[in-house]
Amino acid sequence: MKAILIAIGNPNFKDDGVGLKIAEFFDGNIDKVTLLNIGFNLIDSLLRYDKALIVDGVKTGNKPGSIIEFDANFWGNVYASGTHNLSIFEIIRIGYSLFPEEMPKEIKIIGVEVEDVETLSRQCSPSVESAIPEVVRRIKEYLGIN
Amino acid sequence: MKKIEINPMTRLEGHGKITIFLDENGNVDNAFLQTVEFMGYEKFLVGMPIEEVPRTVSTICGVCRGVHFTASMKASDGVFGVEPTPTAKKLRDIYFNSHMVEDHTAILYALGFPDFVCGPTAPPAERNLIGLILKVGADVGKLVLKKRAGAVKIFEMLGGRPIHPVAAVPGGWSKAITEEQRKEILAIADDLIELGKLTLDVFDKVVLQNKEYVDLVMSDAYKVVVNYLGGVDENGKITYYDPKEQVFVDTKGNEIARFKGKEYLEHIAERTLPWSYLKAPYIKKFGWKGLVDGEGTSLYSVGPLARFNVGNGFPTPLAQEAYEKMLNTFGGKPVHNILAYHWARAIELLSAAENIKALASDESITDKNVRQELTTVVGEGVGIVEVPRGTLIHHYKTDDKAIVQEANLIVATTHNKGAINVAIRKAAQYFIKGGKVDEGILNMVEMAYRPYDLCFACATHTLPGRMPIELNIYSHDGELIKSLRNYEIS
Repeated sequence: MKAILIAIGNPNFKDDGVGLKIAEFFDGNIDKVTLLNIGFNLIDSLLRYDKALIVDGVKTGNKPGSIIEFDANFWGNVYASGTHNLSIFEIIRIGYSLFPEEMPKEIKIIGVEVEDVETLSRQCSPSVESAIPEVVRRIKEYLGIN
Repeated sequence: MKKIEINPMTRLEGHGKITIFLDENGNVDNAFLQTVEFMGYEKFLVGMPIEEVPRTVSTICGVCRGVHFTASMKASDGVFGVEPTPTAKKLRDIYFNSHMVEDHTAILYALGFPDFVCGPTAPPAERNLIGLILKVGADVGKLVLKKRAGAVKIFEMLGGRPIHPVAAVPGGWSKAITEEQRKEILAIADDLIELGKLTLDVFDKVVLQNKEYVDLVMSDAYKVVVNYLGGVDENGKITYYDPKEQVFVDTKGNEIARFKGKEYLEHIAERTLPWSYLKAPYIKKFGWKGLVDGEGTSLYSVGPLARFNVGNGFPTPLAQEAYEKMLNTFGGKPVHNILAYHWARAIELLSAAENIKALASDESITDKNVRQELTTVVGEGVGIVEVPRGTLIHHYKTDDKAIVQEANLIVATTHNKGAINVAIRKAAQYFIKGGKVDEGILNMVEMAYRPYDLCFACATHTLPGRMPIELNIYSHDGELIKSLRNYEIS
């Protein structure tokens, strides 16, 4: 089974970089892509893989450092009329609409609740940093990496 | 007085808010777009070696990564007082045009076309890219995305990475390309030209052949009469990576000023607005006239329509043909109908693809001389590029070791600040009557800012990853009586 890890984040905005920091634990272990934002480039990255795991910071109102898992069917009530880009669920849905044979059969999204994504810093908040080992463990388990 | 707010809901998306004030009759009294400042990058860059700046500013925005990279790279040339070698200049130009293709494609198909293809008052759940694909067919959608991926491939091949490019060096480019790569770029360019032609064809079929939409494009609801700023080459043609000069034209299309480099400071002034963190630029010699359009205004716009109004055409044949068609349709310039931004954007997509082909057809671009020797630090550099959303200015001052001491970045959304306010107010005044507001009307108002493709320094990728908008309607005494939002997660 061909799997990919996709980390999304801005390394310069504190907790926004949490996905990228998590991805650093997988250097050489698995196909890996880091993205600064969500756009059609997410579809480019997903095509021709059987399984994908996306890791990103999230803001859902939970305690900072909380780990929230979604699957790609978590569309919510998502639609496009934003000003500059699209939502992750919408992009994945577009991928499945256009390339049903080439998209992964399974996509899991793991989010880490952020605390501060406004401050220009390359360090995460302690609460967010502390979630990283558990996320790494879950990713390894999901992707079958020792 | 009623107050309507179109609010973002979450943090990264929390960079813009639209507030509409209704009078006692429920008609629009005024409207404001409020934004926060430019994410603090200007301070973050202080103390950084200028060579590091392009790689850092490419993280300002995932969509606009290539443009900040390029503007700062050009500024770094100035800091060292060097011109890039001819080959490096051409490679940068190809790289930049590939970004133009990718960016314009995404904006048109994801955010611009759905309003027309799916209908401006269609329910939001239908008025999106999925809805567009359902209307125009999955084959077209697939073709568009596959061809667009070619632009990303060039971007990655030259920039070193698909996301954070790393190839910038002052006075050059980090590596030369091989003959095989040149041929690959050339082949992709043909694909991108097809993408440009297809996009204009979609616009023609969906908008221009539909009287209702043509009326909408021509409507006063979406007409903003301002001055325009754009970059041109030595023949006055529209160009992106390295304009010879920036030109201002007035509301009648008459040239009023031209400048290069740090001369921008002589022509552009900024007005502090008490209700917004973002200042509103205006043409200095006209003086501040307020957030008003019409003859004599000091506001100006940038971006594809501004470039259309400023330039005397395109240097490549297919884009020139499309330019003439648009010119004839409107019966002359300047065009103040802001929905025509989408049309101009589609022409630019084709133009950028043609530029790539022209540049890659030059066999000399495989020359290995891609770097100038750096001998002195001049200490100041300005990089101006015409990016998808308009004129982008990066200005740096450094110490004698080329460490940044001051940075000033003026992005397209900032230039357009005043015009966007006028656009929103006009659309709101046109569509909101007697206090009646529904989702359809909300979208008609949103359509007034979508042509400008707002970018609030958009690192907007934290889930849910887009800019949600909420519209709150307050009663005369301030009570919230209705709330609409275009995004919900449940």
